[in-house]
Amino acid sequence: MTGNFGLIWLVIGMPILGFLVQSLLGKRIVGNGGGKRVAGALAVLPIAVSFAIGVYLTMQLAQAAPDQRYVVVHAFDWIKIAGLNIPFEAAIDPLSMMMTLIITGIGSLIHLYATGYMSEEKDYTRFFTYLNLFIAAMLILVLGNNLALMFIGWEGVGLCSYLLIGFWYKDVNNSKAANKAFIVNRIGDWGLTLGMFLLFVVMAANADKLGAGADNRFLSYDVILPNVVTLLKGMPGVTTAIALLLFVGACGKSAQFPLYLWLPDAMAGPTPVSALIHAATMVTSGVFMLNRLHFIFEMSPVASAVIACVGAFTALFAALIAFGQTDIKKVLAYSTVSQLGFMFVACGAGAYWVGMFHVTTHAFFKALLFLGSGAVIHAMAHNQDMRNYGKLAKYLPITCWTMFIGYLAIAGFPFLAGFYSKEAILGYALANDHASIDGVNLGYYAGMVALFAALLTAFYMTRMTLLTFFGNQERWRLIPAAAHHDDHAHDDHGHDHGHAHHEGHDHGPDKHGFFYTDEELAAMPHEHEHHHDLDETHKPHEVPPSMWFPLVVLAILSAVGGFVLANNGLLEHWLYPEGTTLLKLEEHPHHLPGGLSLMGYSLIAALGGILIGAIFYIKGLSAKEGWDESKWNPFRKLARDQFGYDALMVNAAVQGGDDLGLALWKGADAKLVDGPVNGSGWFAGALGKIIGSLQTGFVRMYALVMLVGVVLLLGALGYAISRDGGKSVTGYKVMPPGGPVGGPAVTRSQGGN
Amino acid sequence: MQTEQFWSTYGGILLLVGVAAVLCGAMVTLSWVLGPKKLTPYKASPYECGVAPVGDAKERFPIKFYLVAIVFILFDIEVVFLWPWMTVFKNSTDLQFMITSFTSFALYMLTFIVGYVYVIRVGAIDWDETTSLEPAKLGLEPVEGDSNSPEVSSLPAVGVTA
Amino acid sequence: MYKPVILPIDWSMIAPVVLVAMVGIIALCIEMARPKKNNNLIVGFTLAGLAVAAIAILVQFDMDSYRIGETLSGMVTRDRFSLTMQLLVVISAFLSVLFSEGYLREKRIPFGEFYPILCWSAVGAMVMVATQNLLMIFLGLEVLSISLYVLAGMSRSENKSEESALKYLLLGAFASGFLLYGIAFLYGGSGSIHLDTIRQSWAVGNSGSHMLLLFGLGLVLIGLGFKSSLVPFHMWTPDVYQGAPTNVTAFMAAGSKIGAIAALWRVLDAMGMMQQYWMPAMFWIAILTMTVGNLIALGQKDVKRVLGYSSIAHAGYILVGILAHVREPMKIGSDTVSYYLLSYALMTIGAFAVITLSARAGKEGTKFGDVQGLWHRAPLAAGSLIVFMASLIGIPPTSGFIGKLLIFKDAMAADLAPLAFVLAVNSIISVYYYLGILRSMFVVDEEGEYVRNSAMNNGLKSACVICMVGIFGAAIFFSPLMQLFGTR
Repeated sequence: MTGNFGLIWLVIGMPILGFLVQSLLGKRIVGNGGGKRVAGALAVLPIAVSFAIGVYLTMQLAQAAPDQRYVVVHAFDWIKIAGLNIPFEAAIDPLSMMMTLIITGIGSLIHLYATGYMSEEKDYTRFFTYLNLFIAAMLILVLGNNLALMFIGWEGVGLCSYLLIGFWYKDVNNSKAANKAFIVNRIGDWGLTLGMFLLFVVMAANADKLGAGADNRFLSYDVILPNVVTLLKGMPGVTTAIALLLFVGACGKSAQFPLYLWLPDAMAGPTPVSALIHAATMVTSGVFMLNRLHFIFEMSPVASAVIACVGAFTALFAALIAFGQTDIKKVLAYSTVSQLGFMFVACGAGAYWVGMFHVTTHAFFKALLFLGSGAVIHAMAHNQDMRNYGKLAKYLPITCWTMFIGYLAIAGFPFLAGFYSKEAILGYALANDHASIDGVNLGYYAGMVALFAALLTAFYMTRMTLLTFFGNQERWRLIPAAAHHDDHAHDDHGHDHGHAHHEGHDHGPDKHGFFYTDEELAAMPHEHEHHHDLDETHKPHEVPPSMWFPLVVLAILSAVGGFVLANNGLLEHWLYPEGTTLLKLEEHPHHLPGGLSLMGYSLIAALGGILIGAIFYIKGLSAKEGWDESKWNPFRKLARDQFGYDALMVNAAVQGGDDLGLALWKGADAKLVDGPVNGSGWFAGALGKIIGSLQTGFVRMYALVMLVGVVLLLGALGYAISRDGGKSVTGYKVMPPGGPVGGPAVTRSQGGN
Repeated sequence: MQTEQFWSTYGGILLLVGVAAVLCGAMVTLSWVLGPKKLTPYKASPYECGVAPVGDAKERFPIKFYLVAIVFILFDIEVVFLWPWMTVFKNSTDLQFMITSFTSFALYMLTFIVGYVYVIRVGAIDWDETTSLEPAKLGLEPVEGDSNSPEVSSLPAVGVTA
Repeated sequence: MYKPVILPIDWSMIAPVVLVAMVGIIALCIEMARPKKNNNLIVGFTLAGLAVAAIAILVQFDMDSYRIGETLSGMVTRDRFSLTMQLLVVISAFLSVLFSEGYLREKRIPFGEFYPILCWSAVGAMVMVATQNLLMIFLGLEVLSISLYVLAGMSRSENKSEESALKYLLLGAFASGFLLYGIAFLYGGSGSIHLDTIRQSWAVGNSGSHMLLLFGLGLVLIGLGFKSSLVPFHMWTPDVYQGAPTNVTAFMAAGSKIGAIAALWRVLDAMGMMQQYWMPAMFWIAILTMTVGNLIALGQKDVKRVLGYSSIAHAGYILVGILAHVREPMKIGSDTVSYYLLSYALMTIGAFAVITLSARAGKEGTKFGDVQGLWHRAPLAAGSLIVFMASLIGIPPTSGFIGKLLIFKDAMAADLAPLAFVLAVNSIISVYYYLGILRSMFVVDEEGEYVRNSAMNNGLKSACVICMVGIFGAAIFFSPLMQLFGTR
C-alpha cells in the first residue's frame, strides 16, 4: 500500500493546532486589533485544511483494490505493558475516511457560519476553542485504530458537548442542561466500557489464536475484525451481551429512547453547536460504532432485533413529541432524535451501509435546517418561538428557500437526499429477517413503524416550515403581552453590546404600557440583556454572506447528495465491498400488504404528510395551538411534556438518588465505615506524634539518631555475615558480569584502573 | 577454621586495644573518683601561670579572618598542584603533552582567577568596613551610627529591587 | 626520561557537565559585570545554558544499546541510566531557576550568586550520577552538598535559614565521613574503587575480603542514605527543607535526591551478589522510611515541613524500586526508578514553586494558616497545586500514579510483597496531609489574615505549567518514556 497516509496526523493535528491557537493566543488576537475576523479565520482555516487533506487521502485510498483498503498508520506505542499493547494508531479505511470528510467538511462550513453567528459574542475565542477541540476529539474517535482511542474521542466529544451546551453558563438553565447531557451520557459510557471490557476478555483469553502480528493489541480493529467471527462462534450469549452493552453506549451518545432526553435540552447551546454536534456529527457516533464492529452485531440476531425495535420506537416517539413543540430548535432536536432512530432501524436490519448513508444525508439536511433556523433566530432578535414567526419568506429569501430544500429532503420528497436513504432503510427493514427473536421478525414491524414515522416526519416538518416562513400574518406584530416574556430559551446571554442595563433604571410604564416594580424587574434578568426586543416594529434582515454561503452549499448537497451516493450502489460498494459482510440481504421487499410497492408507500408517506401538514397550516397558526396553551388539545399538551417521560426520569433519578444517598450515608457509611477509618486515622496520627517527638531541633539529637541508625545497620550486616562467616560467594541471585539488564559486557573506550 | 584464623591473626591487636581502653578509662575514672578536689579561684582561672584573663573567650571577631583563610587554602591547594605539574612539564620533551597539559592547567588556574576576581569584587578581603560591609550587599539597611554592629541580623529586611 | 601518556578523552561524554560548570562560571562573571541592577540577564543565560546542556545529553541517547562506554580511565560512565539521571538533574535545575527570580525578589534576597551556585550544585549531581567510580561519587556528592550548604543559608537575615545551613553542614559532614570511610573499606576489600571491579571481586574473594566489603558497603549506605534521607538518617530533612529558601528546597528535594538515589542504585546494583547479607537490613530501612515519613507528616503544621516528610516517604518508595531491581536484575530494569524520579522531580518542584507564593515583600510564612486563600490570589498556581498533590498521592491519570503502580508491580514481581503492601498503605495515609495542604489553599477563615495580592510572575507561571504538562505528559506517553529510560 503506497501513499502518504502519514498525512492523517495532519488531519488530526490541524484542529488541535487551531484549538491551541484559539485557547492560548485567541484573546490576544482579538485584543490586538486583529479583531474577531482574524480569530474567526484562524478557527475555520485548520478545519478546511483538514478537509482538503481528507479528500486527498480518500482519493489515495480509492486507488487501492477494494480488499486492500485498510491502512494502519502507527505513531508510537502508547500503553505497552506485559499482556497488553495499545499503540497510538490511525485506521484509514472507507468508513473512517467517510466520517472524516463529514466531520471536517460540514465542520468547516459550520465554523464559517459561526464566525458570523457569534460575531456579537464576548467569549468569541472560547467558543472556537471548544469547537476546534470538538473536531479534534471527533476525528480521534473515528480515526483511532483501537477501542481505547475511540473511547478517548468518545469522552472528548462528550466533554466538548458539555462545555458548549453550557456555553452561556450564566443562565443556570443552560448549566443544568449541560449537566443533564453529561450525566445521561455516563449511563451510556457505563454500557460502552463494559462492552469493551467483555470484548477485551474474549480477545485476551484467545491471545494465541489471533495470528501473527497481533502482538497483544487486543483492542485494535485490525486484530479484532478478522478474528472476532471465529472467536465468538458458538457463544451466542456472550455475543449478544457484548452487542447489547455496546448498544447502550450508542443509545447514550446517539440519543435513543431510554437515554434520548439530554438531546432536546442540549439545544441550550449556540445554534452552530446544535448543528455540528447535536445533529451532524457527534450524535451519529453510535451508528459509526455499530458499523465499525458490525460483525458482532451481525452475529447476534437478538441484539439486532433490540436495536431495530428501539430505533423504530424512538423514531415514532420523538416524531410525536415534535408536534407539541413551539421552539423551532426543539422541533429540529426531536426530529434529529427521530432520524437517529431511522438509522438504528437500518443497522438493526443488518444494513449497516444504509445507516451510514442516512448519517451522511442527515448530516447534510439537518445541518442545513439547523443553520437555517439559526439564521431565522438571528434575524428575529433571538426569539425561538415559532408562534412569533410567519411570512418570513419575504424578509429572508435565501434562508427560506435553502431551508425549504432541506425540509423537502428530510420529508422524503422524491429525488432529494432523504428520499434515497429513507427508501433504503425501509426497504432493507421490510425485506429481511435478520432482526428476529424466536422466529418473530421484529425488523419487519420496526420497518412498518418507521414507515409511519416517515409520514409524521413529513407532517411536522411541514408544520415547522409553514409556521416559520409562510402563512398570512406576520405574527410577531400580534404577540399578546402576556405571552411576551415567558419564553426562556433565549440565545443571547453574554453579548457585549454596550447598553445592557439601561432599561432597568426606567421607572414607570414600559413600552407595552405595563408598570414594573424594582423587584419584578430584578426577577426578570433576561429582559435587560436583550439587545432589542421582538416587538411590532421589528424588521427582520437577511443574514450576512458568511452565514448564507454554508446554507447554499448544504442545500446543494441536500438536493443531489442522495442521488450521487445511491447511484450504482456507490456508497454500498465503497463501504462494504462484496464479501465483507456476513449477512446476505435483500434490497427490496417482495410483497407488502395492500399490493403496493415500497416506492408507492414511501411516496404516500412523504407526499401525504406534506399534504396533511399543508391543509392544517397553510393559513398559519390556528388558535388551538396559539400563545394561550390552556386552549391546546390534550394530545398536544402531552406531546409538549414528552408524555411525562422526562419528568418521570428526572424525578426518579434526582429524588431516588437523594433517598438512596441519604440511606447509604446514615446506615452504611456513618456506622460501618467511619468508625474504623477514623480510628485508624487517629492511631496513625498518634504514632506520628510519638515518632515526631524525636525531632527536637537539636543537631546533637539528630546526630545521635543517625548514630543509633549506624550501629543498627552495621550490627544487622554483621549479624547477617556472621551466620555463615561470609563464605557465600554468589548470593542467591547471580548478577552477570558487565552490569545491569540489557547491557552488553563492559566496553571501556580506554584502559581500566 | 575461619574463626580460628581470625583470632590468631587479629587476636593480639584486639587484646591490645582492649587493654589500652580499659587502662585509660580506669586511670581517668580512678583519679577523678579518688583525687582530692580543692577548688580555689586561682586554680579555676584559665591560666594558672598567673596571667589574668581579659574579656570573654567567646568574643565575636570579623568573619573576614575566615574568608582570608579559605582563600588562602584554595590557593595553597593550587600551588600544591602546580608544583608536580611544573616538575613534569620542565623535563618533558613531548610537544603534544606540553600543549595539552599547559592548556589544562591554564584553564584550571583560570577558574581560580575568576573566583579571585569575584572575591575582590564583593570586597571579601577589603578590610575597610565602611565599604566592604555594604548594607546593600547584605540585603540590609545601613545601621544608624554603628556600622560594624554584630546585631545587624536582627534588623528588618528591606528589598533592593522589587 | 619520563614519557607521559595522554589519555584520549571522549569529550561528548563529559560535555554536559562541562557545559553546566561553564554556565555557572560565566553567570558569575555576568554577576560581577552587572552589579545589582537586576538578574534578568543571568537568569536568561542560565536557562539557555541549561537547555543546551539538556540537548547535549539528549543527543547522546543511543536507542540500540543500554551501556555505551566509559572515558577518563573509567571515571565517567555513559549508559542509559546515567544519561537519564543527568537529564533529570538538568531539568530540575532548569525548573528551579525558572521560578526563582520572582521569589528571591519578593523575599528581598535577589543575589545573583544564586544562579552560578545552583549550576555548580547541579554539576555535582551530574558527576555523581554518571560514574561507577566511588571517588567520583564522593567528589560529586561534596560539590553538590557544599553548594547546597551555601544556598540553604542564603537568606542571611533569617535565623531559620542560617540554622538550616549549619545543621545541614554539620550532619552532612558527619555523613560524608562515613561515606569516605566506607569507600576506603571497599577499596581495601577489592583493591579498586570502580564498582564493576568491586562487583567481580566478590566472586573471587574470601571470607576476609567479604567482611571488608560488607562493612564498607554499610558505611557507604549510611553516607548515601543520609543524602537521600532514608530513615534513620533523615532527621535533617524537615528542618533544612523548612529553613532553606523555598527555591533552594525545591532543588534540594529534586536534584540532590536524584543524585543520591542514582548513586545508591549503582552501589546496590554492584553489590547485588552479596544481597543475602544486606537485603534484610535494607528491607527494614525501606519500610521505616516509607512509614515514618508519612506518619510524622500527619501532625505537621507547616507546608514545607510536610513536603519534607513527604520527600522522605517518596525516597522510601523509590528504595523499594531499587531493591526490586537488585533482587531480579534480569527482569526489572532501571526504568521504574528513572520514571519515578522524573515524576517526583516534576511534582515536588511544582509544589514548592507554588509555595513560593507565600513570600511577599520580604516576609514569608509557610504555616497552613499563612497560605490560606491562595485560590483567590493565584488561581493558576492553586489549580496546578491540585495536580501536584494528586500526583504525589498517586491519583490517576497523573504520572505519580503510574510511577507508584510500576514500583508496586516490580515489588510484586521481585517477591517483595510486604514492601508493596506497606507502600499501598502509606499511599493511603499520605492522602490526609496532601489534602490538608490543598484545603488550606482553598479555604479562607473568616478572621484569617492572609496576603491578598498575588506575587505571581511569568517564571512561576511557566514553571507551574511545565510541571503540570509534564505530569500529564509523562502519564500519557509513559511507554515511549520507558523505552527511552532503558530496556526491561
